[in-house]
Amino acid sequence: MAGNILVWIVWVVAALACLGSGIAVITFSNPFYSALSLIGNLASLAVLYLLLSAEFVAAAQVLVYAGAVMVMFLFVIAYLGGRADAPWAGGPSWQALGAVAASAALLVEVIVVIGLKSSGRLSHSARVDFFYGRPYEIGRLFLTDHLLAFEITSIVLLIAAVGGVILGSHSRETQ
Amino acid sequence: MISTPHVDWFALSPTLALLGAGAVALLGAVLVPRRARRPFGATVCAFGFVGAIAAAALVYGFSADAHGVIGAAIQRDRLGALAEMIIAGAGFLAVWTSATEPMPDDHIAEYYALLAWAGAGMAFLTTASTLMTLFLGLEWFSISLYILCAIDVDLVGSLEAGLKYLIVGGFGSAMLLFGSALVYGATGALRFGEIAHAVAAQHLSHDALLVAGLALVIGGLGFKASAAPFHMWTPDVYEGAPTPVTAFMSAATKTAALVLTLRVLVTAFPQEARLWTLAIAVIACASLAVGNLAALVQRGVKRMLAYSSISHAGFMLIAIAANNALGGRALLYYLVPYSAMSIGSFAVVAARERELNAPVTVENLAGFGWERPLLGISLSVFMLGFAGFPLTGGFVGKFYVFAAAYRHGWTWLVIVGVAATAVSLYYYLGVVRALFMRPSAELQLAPVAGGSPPSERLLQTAVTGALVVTVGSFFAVQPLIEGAKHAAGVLF
Repeated sequence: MAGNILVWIVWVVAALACLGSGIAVITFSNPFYSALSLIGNLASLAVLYLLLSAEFVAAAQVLVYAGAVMVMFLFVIAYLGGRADAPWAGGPSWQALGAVAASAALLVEVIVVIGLKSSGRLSHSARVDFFYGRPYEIGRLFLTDHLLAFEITSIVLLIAAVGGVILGSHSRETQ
Repeated sequence: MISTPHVDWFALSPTLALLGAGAVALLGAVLVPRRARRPFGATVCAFGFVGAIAAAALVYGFSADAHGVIGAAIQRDRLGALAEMIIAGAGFLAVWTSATEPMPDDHIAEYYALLAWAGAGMAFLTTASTLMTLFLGLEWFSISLYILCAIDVDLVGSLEAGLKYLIVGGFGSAMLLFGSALVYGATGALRFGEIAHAVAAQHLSHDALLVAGLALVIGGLGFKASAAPFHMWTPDVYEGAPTPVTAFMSAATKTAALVLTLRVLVTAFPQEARLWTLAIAVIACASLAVGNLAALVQRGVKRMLAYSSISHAGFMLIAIAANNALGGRALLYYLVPYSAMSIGSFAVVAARERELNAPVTVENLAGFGWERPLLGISLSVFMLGFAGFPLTGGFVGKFYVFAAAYRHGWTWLVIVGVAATAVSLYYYLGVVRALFMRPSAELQLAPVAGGSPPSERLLQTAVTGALVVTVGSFFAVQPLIEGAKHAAGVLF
């Protein structure tokens, strides 16, 4: 029982940290602070993965995203300088109010769906065997069930890289 | 020992043809001298699309029995093959349209590579049969299109269009992903067939988690099909993107998104049919209303065509909402003349744009029909086809769509569709009127080059091709419907 409560506390803290840092990413006007908040977001997501017994994914998340990708983000921000337009320059418009209302409606919907309607099925945890979430098992899935999806991901990344080069070389020419 | 699944290269061949063409076109950026890059890229890209059409035709011929391949990640069936043929055909015409587009030569090789890759992603998407390949296919062609929209930095609004599409499209993808996660959470299955099985076995239909997931999936796909209320990016992006890209997007993206919507809804959510047919019908009505009413007041032809494409998404969603064999047939048939008319009309707009070196409005089309009879008559035929006049495929398409809705018992949806068609006559005929019934003397614009307008054989070939398909699909109804029947027979 005590273990359950501990899991609950960790979950609530991580979930709130995740939400808070996510909001912080888009509200800071200084991109440097946004990038730092993103680290918090990724780290709290990693904690959530740990709670789901996905240790390998959590480790990969910290290493790849919070480590490598974030360093790259910070480099880019350092290159470009920390200038940015203030996001709230125009004051609240009716569009902003509408967006807030729509997202609030969606939030309520999600809470109702997950919290109330599905409580019967979501309360008991899934049976997780010893191999669940191990690197071996993940690798096996990549090579069997999700072979095509795994290969397609590399194509998507390649196209994104080509696009990055194209758009990047554009801006160099205009300067 | 890990036993990898058998890879059915033949089922992937249309996608691989385009991927290969894209790779060769990209190599042109470093290996081919600058002058030759444009013809080289266009030729390679055109061959890729032709190869994809041929490969898809072969897959269509040899896939009478539908089955999942490569770990059931994609489905090898006639539905996917027919959609791949339409997409590759649209891409082929788009290559001809862009061959003489006055774009800076810096990234012309990359342009053709991305065009082929976007086509490959769409071809892949139409065969997707798990939530994972669905999302990856969607991202694949979306990323290619984001870059294609922004590729012409000299063009005012191109970069803005790319950024806008990126942000709104990213939001749509996030919605789709969230919905997929909820569906996976409710059923524990990723493959479309297994989702339906799990729902039936565990009595999950009308389960809140599943329904919320379904709603988000529909919303996410609605963004890609540019159906209202997920359409707000469409006019700005269509207007800002280079016109050949717009032409390709309007035809091929819609084909991929709508065929996939049909596939995922029918195969993964048959138990929720009562819910999603109504949802799709409402989205269709919203698209018809928003598209047609907003198109009435547009002066820019590209914006007008963008709103017209929203309203046509509405027409095609009616076919999906009907959820019967006739509806599937109607959708697949409708996509053929629609793609041709859409590419053709954007190609004519591109020709006029190059002549005037200014955005094309209804006003500055005045007299264009007399100056350039081939393009003028073609554009008139496309407009009449959009409006659903006989002697064009648009007529038969609309007829089948309404018949499908009627078969489903939704007379009200037919009435909405007919009313929308009546409204659309105003702006479609407005273009025809401007082309032929107003003297060009009203216009204070002269061709930039001075003298005779540039002759663009390649673009005219593309327009002629689109014209042939538009009119031909009216006369060749029987074989086309027969093909669509076999394709839709996979689902119903």
